[in-house]
Amino acid sequence: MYLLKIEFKKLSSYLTFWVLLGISLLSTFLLTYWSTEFSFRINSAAHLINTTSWYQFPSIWGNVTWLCSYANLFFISIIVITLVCNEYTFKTIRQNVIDGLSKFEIVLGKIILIIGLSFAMTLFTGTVCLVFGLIYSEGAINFSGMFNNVNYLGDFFIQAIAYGMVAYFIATLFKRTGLSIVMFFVYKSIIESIIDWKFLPNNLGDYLPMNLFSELTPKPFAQTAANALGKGIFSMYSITSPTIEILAIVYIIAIGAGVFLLIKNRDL
Amino acid sequence: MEQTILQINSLSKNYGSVKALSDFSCKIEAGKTYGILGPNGSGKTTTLGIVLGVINASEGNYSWFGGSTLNKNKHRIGALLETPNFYPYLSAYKNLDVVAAIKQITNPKIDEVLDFVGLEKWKNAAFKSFSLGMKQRLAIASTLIADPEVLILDEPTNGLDPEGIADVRKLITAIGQKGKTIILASHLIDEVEKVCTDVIILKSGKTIESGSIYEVLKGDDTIEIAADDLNSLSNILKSISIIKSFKKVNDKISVSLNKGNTAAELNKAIFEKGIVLSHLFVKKKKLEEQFLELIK
Ligand SMILES: Nc1ncnc2c1ncn2[C@@H]1O[C@H](COP(=O)(O)OP(=O)(O)O)[C@@H](O)[C@H]1O
Ligand SMILES: [Mg+2]
Repeated sequence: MYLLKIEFKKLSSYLTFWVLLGISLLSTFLLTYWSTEFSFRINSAAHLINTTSWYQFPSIWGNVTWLCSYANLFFISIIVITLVCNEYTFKTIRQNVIDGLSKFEIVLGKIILIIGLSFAMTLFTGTVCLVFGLIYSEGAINFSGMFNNVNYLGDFFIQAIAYGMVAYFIATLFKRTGLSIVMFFVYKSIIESIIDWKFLPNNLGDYLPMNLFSELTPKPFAQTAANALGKGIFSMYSITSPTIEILAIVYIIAIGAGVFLLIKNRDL
Repeated sequence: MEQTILQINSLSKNYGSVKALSDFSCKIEAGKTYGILGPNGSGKTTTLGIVLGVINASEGNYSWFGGSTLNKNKHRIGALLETPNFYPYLSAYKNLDVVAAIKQITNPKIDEVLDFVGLEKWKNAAFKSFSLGMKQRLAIASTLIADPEVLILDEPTNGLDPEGIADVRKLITAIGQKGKTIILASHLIDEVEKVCTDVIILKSGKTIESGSIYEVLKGDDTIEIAADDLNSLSNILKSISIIKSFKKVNDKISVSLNKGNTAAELNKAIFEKGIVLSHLFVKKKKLEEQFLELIK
């Protein structure tokens, strides 16, 4: 795909990008490595978790993807915002169009890059899961059940793309790196919560995009805790698979269309 | 064979209440070198930005190569708009490599064009370390990379030292002689005069004059005349139809003629009215004065 080739050429000697990518992969590894310690502190239900089971197949897939989804949220958004805003700061988006890309190709190129980045992150996270799972299973591997929950990795992939696309939309809207990063996290942690609490009845807030995306990798304690307490299904979240995946993909497509419309109607 | 490269029909662009361009039409034909001349803020960049697809027109349309606005046409065009825009952290070479990838050129002659603009020594230096003149040269190099039929250059000598300016002008002339079509936007009259065959003069977004440099010039010289009886001379001047305007300057009368008329015709007309001139002098105006007059 020549659009990916162009994007790659742009990044080939961009140190900031490679450093950010490196840190994000490193933090995926470290989060996984320290995760048994974290789990004690994060949640009151955590004391119910047997730390030796944290790394066991097949539950490791859900545990690690949930944990690393925070690294995902943080780094993919910062990387995407930096790269997109750079194109405005350097006016290279203008030059790319002058040189021959259509505005559609401009958007498609970045979307392909986001998908590529998400794929790389997912692949790395999957490898980390596999390695930790194999190390901690201490030879007692149940091969048949090992990949039972591997679908979490697919959700993780969709989630990474979704976060990247929200970042792309916000960066396109504001054009400036610092402002966009702030707005991304303000939207994620403040605006959606306010809309949820103040304006939406019942479970409708679950349909807000960032809420929905973060539930692609659900908090593993909830279920574990419920099991331990013998309460059966314990879910605070009203949307289940595969509806959640379908909705996430619909959002991704809608955000992509939104970005394209913004750029199409804008003077570069 | 004359061939239309670019047809522009009634383009307008408004920025809020600012009319950056109004009702701009023109036809660019193959093989000529066009100058779009106008003071700063007259709408040159806006015009070129629209036909290059980076600025949305408020009204009007344009078509490239007798066809559509389709993007694949851009591979036949090399363009530099306003400022050199490159990735600061990439080297000159890698920046051109990105341009070549966008234009989908299989064997880009990157070294060749860098050599052409005198940047071969700096090909591995990052763009951000370049001086303004070097950036401008790199931008020119990037317009040449696909060996395009049409070259669009918006203020290409901006920020260059006198030597650089002379180099770039020589370059443009050389490219024009290769039969390429060039559209050069500039606020510098002598630049357009030295390089272009045709000129379009813009002022506040409106076309004031257009045509070959020769046409735009012709008929606009002022002619100084005098006779023994200056009063009766100025009386008969009113009845001579080829005169656009005249005014008394000290002991002479300064006349400007309608387009296409010559001093000889004026002399003959006055003689036929029974007055013999004691003085007749054609003051050739430089294009600069012309330009300043046109945009007044
Ligand atoms: N993005 C913009 N927003 C508002 N006004 C603009 C914008 N770009 C250009 N203008 C205005 O449009 C007019 C034409 O500008 P421009 O085409 O850049 O002129 P030139 O290239 O001839 O110097 C100017 O009055 C300028 O201030
Ligand atoms: Mg300009």
